[in-house]
Amino acid sequence: MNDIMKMIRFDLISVSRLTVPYVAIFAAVCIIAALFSLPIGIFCVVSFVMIIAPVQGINNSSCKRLYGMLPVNRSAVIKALFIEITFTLFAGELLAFLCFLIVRNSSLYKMLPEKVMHFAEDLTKMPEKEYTMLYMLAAAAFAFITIILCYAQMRSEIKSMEAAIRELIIIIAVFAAAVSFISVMIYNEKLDALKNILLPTTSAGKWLLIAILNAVTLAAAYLFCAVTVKKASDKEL
Amino acid sequence: MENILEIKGLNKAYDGFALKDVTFSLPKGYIMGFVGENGSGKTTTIRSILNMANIDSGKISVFGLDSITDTIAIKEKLGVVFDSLYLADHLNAKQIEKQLKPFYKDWDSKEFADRLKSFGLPDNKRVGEFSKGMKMKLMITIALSHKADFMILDEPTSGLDPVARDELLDILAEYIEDENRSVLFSTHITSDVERIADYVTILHDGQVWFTGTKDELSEKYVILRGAEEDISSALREKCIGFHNYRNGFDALLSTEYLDEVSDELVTEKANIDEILVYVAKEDRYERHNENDKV
Repeated sequence: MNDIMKMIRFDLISVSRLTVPYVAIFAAVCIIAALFSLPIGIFCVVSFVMIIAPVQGINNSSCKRLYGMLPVNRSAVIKALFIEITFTLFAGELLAFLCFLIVRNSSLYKMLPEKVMHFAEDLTKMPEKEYTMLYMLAAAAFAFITIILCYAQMRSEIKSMEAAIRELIIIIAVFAAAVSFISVMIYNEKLDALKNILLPTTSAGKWLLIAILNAVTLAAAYLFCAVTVKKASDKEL
Repeated sequence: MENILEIKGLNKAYDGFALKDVTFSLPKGYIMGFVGENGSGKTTTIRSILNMANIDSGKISVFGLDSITDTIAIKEKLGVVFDSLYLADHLNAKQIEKQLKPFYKDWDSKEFADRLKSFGLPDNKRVGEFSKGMKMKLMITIALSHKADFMILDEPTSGLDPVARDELLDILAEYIEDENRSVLFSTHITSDVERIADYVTILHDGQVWFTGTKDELSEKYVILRGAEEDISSALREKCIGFHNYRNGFDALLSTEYLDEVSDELVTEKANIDEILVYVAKEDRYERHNENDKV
C-alpha cells in the first residue's frame, strides 16, 4: 500500500465513525424521496456534501501533530486530502444524478396523497430538455463546491484556516455577484453568445458541458493540490 | 558508546525566542531527563528532532541517520508520547490499531493486544474517555507495538497522579532493560529525573546549561550558605543565583571552587530542582544589575 492509500485509509477510519450514520441516512432519504419523485432528495444530496466534505477537512487539520509523527511524507498527506475531497464530492454528484434518474422513471408517486402526487407528477413529466438542464445545474453546483473547498484547503494549509475563510467569503460574494449579473444579462437577451455556451440547447451539448465541468473541476483540484504540495510540504507542523 | 541521538549546534529562531547552539547526545541503553523552565526550548528541540520544526542550522542524528533526509526511516523506529493525546478521540484502541498498522513495517498486533491487556486498557472504549494515565499508556503501547528503539516523551508525567506517574516511570525503566533502547523525556517534575534518568540535559533560555550523567551533575554543584561577610567578593562572583537575605545568603557553586570556600560557610548537596531555581535566579540577578546600570 503506498503512502497516499495509507493516509486515505487512515482518514476514512477517522471520519467513518462520525459520518457513516449521516451518510447512510442522507443516502436513504435521497433515494426514497426520489422513488416517490420528490425533489427533496436533491436538497439532501447538497446537505450531505456540505456536511461531509468540511468534516473531512476539519478532521485533517486537527491531526497535524500526529501526521508529524507518522513515517509518511507530508506530500502524501496533502495529496490524500485533496483526493478525499474530490472523490467525496464526485460521489455526491453521482448520487444526485441517480436521484434524477429515479425521479424520472419511478411511478411510486401515484401512491402519494393527491396534492403531493400532482407536484411529483409534474416533475416526472418535465420535458427531456429541461430535465437535462437539472443534471447540468447539479454538475455545476458540485464543481463549484469542489473547487471552493479545494481552494480553501490549499489556503488553510499554506497560510491559515482564518485566512482561508476570509478569502472564501470574498470569492463567494464576487462569484454570486458575477452570476447574478450574467443571469440578468442573459434574461434580457444581452449575452446570447455566452448563453449558448453556458446553456446549450441540445442534450448532447448539455452532457458535453457536464463532462467539461467535471474535467475542469479535476484539473482545478489537481492544480490546487500541486501548489499546496510545493508550498506546504516543508511547513512546520 | 554508540549514540542513539546526537544534536550538534542546533539553532532555531522564532519571534522572541531562539535555540542557540544546542549540543548534546544520548547513548544507547539509557534514559535522559530533559529539563528546563517553561519556554526554555525543550518542546522546540523535540519538534526539531521529529522534523516538525525547520531548523536554521545544526545537525540532528537519530540512529545515525539525518533527521531531515531520513525522517521516515527514523520515525519507523521512533515512539513519541506527547502530554496530550494526538489520536482521534472518538475511536477505540482497536480502530486506532487499524489506522496505524499499515504505516509500520514491524507492527506487531499481538504485542499491541498483550500490552493493552497488561496495561489494563479496554479496546472497545473511546480513547477520548481514557484518563490521562491511560492515554499515556496507550501512546506507549503504540510505540512498543511498532518496535520503537527510541522513545521521546514530552512532559509525560505532568497532570498524572503519583500512582500513575510511578507506573509510567516503571514502564520506561523496563523499556530500556535490553540496553539497545533509549528514552528522552522532558519534564518539569525533576524528582522523576532523579528517580530514573541516567543522563540529564538542562536547557536554559534556549541554550544547554548542562549535559552529562546525573552523577556528574550532582557532583558538579553544591549549595553554599552562610553570612555575607564570610564570602570573598571573588568567590561571590563565581556563585550562581546568589541571593542575600536578613540572616545571610545562599547560592549555587561549582565544586571546582570548593577550595576557596572558608570554614564559616556551609555546603550542601544540590538536587536538580534547586539547580534549576538558582539558574533562574542568576538570570533575574543579572537583569536587576543591568537595570541598575540604566
